[in-house]
Amino acid sequence: MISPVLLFDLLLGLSLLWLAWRTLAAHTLFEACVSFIVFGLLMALSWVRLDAPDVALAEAAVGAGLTGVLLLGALERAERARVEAAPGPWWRRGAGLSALLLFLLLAAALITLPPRPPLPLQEALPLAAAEHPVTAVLLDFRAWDTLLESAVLVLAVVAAWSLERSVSPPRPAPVCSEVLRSLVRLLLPFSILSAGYLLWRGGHAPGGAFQAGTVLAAAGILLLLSDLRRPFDLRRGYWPLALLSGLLLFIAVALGTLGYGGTALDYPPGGGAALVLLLELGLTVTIALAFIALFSSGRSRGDE
Amino acid sequence: MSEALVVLMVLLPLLLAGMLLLAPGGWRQRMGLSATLLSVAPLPPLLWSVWHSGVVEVALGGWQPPLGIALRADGLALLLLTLTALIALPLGLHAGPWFRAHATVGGRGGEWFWPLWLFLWSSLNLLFLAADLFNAYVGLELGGLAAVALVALGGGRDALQAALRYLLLALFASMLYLLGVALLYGAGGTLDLALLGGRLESGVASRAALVLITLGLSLKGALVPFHFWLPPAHATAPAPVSALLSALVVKAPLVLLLRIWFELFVPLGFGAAGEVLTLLGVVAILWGSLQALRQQRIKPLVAWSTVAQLGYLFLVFAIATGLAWSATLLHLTAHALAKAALFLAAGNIVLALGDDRLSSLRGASHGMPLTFFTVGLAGVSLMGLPPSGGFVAKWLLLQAALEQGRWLPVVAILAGSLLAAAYLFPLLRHALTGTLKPTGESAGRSLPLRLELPPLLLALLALLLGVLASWPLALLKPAMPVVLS
Repeated sequence: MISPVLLFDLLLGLSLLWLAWRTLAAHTLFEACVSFIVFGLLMALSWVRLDAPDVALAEAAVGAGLTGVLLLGALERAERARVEAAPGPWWRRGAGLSALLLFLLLAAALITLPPRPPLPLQEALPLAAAEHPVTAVLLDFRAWDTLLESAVLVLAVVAAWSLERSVSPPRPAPVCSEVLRSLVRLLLPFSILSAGYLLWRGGHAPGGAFQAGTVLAAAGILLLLSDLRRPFDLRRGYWPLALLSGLLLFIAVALGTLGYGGTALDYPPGGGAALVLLLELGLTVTIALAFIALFSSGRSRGDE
Repeated sequence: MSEALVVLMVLLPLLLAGMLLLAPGGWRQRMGLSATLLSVAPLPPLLWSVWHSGVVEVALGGWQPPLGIALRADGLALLLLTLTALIALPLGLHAGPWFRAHATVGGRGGEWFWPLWLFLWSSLNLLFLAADLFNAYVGLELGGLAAVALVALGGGRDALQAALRYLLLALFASMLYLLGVALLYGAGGTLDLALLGGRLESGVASRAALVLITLGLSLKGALVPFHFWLPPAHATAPAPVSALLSALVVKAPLVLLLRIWFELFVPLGFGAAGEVLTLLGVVAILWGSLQALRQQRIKPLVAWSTVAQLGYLFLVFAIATGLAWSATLLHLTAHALAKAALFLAAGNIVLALGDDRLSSLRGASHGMPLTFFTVGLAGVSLMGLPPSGGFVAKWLLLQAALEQGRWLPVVAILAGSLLAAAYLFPLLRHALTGTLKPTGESAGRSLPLRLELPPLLLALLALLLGVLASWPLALLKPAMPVVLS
C-alpha cells in the first residue's frame, strides 16, 4: 500500500516535471511565464516537504512571486518591441541533451554521496547571536557571505539603472482598476505588519530579512500598480541612501567590530542579538527597495 | 593588524562604491580617482607583512572553518592583489579623461563606470583571498554582474547584445560551479578549501564535482571552445572596461580553478584529466591566434589575442610541476599588464581616429607617437621577446615542458609566439608607413598626455617584469600547492 504522504510526494514530483515541460514547450511566452510561476509555487511546496520552511518561504516570495512579476514586466516590453525569441530545433535538442547529461551526472553523484557528515553547527548554536539555525548561519557564522550578497542586490539595481538610457523601454499603460485600488488599501497595512512580524520572528523561527523584504516589496509594487501614489523615482532624494542602507550598515558593523575587537563581524558579547536585528532591519529595507527598483526601472520616467 | 588589512582590501572598494552611488553623476567622475587611490592604501603594508612573516589568515566573525569563513592572504593572493592595484592606478588616471573625451563624441557611461568598477575590484580581491568555496561563488556573482554592466556601458546594439550573452553565460557557469561546490560540501561537510582536501575521497561525487567546477570556471575563463562570448564582449566594451576584462576579469576564475585543481583534485588522483585542459589550451593558442590574424578591426584583434594568450594558462594542467605553476602565474601577470596597456592604447587610437579599421591606421603614428610606442612595447611582451615579462614566463614554461618531455605544449608555445608577432605586426606596419589621409575631421586629433601616459606606464611595467621576475617568483614560492613542491 502506498501511504497518502508518499502519494502526495509522487504527485508533487510529477507535477513539477510536467510544469517544467509546459514552461519549455509553451506556444507563447506568456504561457511559459505563467507555467514558470506555478512551477515556483509547487517548488516552494516541495521545500516544505523537505523540511526547509525558510527556503520554502524564500522560493514562494522570490522564485514565484517577484520573479514572476519581473518576467511578466519584461514580457510586456518584449511584446512592444516585437522581440521574437524562437531557438532553432538543433539548439533545443542540444540544450535538452546537455540537461539530460547534467541530470544523469548529478543523479549518479547524489546516489553515491556518503551519509551527511555531522556538522559542528549544533555545538556552536548556543554561542551564536540568534537562536534559529538559519538566521545564525546567515547573520553570524557566515555573515560575511550575507554582507557580500547584499552588495550583489545593490549592484543588480545599479546595473539596471546604468542600462536605462541605452534601452529606454516604453512606459506601460496603467492597469489600475477600482477593485485593485480598494484591495491595495486593504492589504497595505497588513503587509507592513506581517513584514515586521516576519522580521522579528527570524531570530528564533523561520522568517527574517529576506521574507520580510519580499513582503514589503510586493506591497510596494502593488502600490505602484494601483496608481494610489504618484510614481516615485528611487534614484532621487533619500531613496538611494535607503536602498543602500542594508549594505552600508553591514559594512559599518564589519568595520566597527574590526576596530572594537580586531575581528570583522565578531559581535561583542551581549550585543550580538541587537546587532543582528539592526542588520536584518537594514537588509529588509534594501531587499524591498531593490526589488521595487528592479520592477519600476524604466517605468517612472513618465513624469520627466 | 594585518588581519584588518585583508578585510579592508575587500570592504574598502565596496564602501567607496556605495558612497559614490550617493554622490551626483558629475561628482562620481571627479572622485573616482581618489576612490581608486584610497582602495590601494591597505595593500603596501599587507604586502610587507606577507613578504616578511608569511601567510595571513582571517576567520571572519571569529568563527573558525568549517563553521565560519576564512580569508587567506598567501603569496599567490598578494601577487594578484598587487597586479590588480598596478592596473587600477594607471586605469584610474586614464578612465576619467577617456570617458570625458568619449562623451564629446556622444558616448555615455562615465558616471556609472566608477561605482561599477569599485564593485568589480572588491569582487576580484575577494576571489583572490577567498579560502571558502561558497564565498568564492559570491565573489564570482558579484564580479560577473559588475562586468556585464560595464560591458553594457558601451551602449548601442552590439554592446547590449554582447552584454546579454555574457550575462547568460556567466549565470550558467556560476550555476555549474555552485552545483559542484554543493556536491563537495555533501561529500566533505565543509566549504573550506584547505579542510576539504583532507576530507574528500575519490568517488562519483568528487568526480562529478570536478567536471562541474572545471566546466563552470573554464566557461568563465573563456577556454576554447567556450570562448565564443569573449571577443564580442571585450571588443564592444568601452576601452578602460576592455582592459579590465582582458587583464583581470577572465583571470580570476582561472586562478580559482588552479587553486581547486592542485589543492583538491590532483591529490585525489584526478590529475590525468588535466590532459584534456592542456589539449584545449593548445587549441586555444593556435585558434585564437589564427582568428586574430584574420581580423580587420583593432579591438576584435586584441580581444582574439586574449583568447590565444589564455591558452598558455591551461598548459600547466598536464605539465603539473612547480616550475610550470610559477611560470603560468608569471605569464598571467605579464599578459595582464601588456594586455591592459594594449587595450587602453587601442582605445586611444579609436578615439583619435574615430574609426577602428586597421586600414585607417595608415600614418597615424605621427599624431600619437607615445601611443604607438606603447603598442610596440606591449607587443614585445605579448610575443615573448626579451627582456619582457612575457619572455621570462614563456621561457620558464618552455623549460618546464621540456623537462617533462611534453612536446605538444613546446610546439604550441613556439608557434603561438610566431603567430603573435604576425597578428600584432599589422598594427604597427599600417601606423608607421604612409601618411595620414587628409579626409575625416577627427583624424589625427592629438591626444592629451593623461590619455597617452597610463598605457605606456603599463607597458613599461610588463617590460620591467622581465627584469624583476625574481620578486613575483619569490612571493609565489611559499604559496605553491603541496603536490607541486
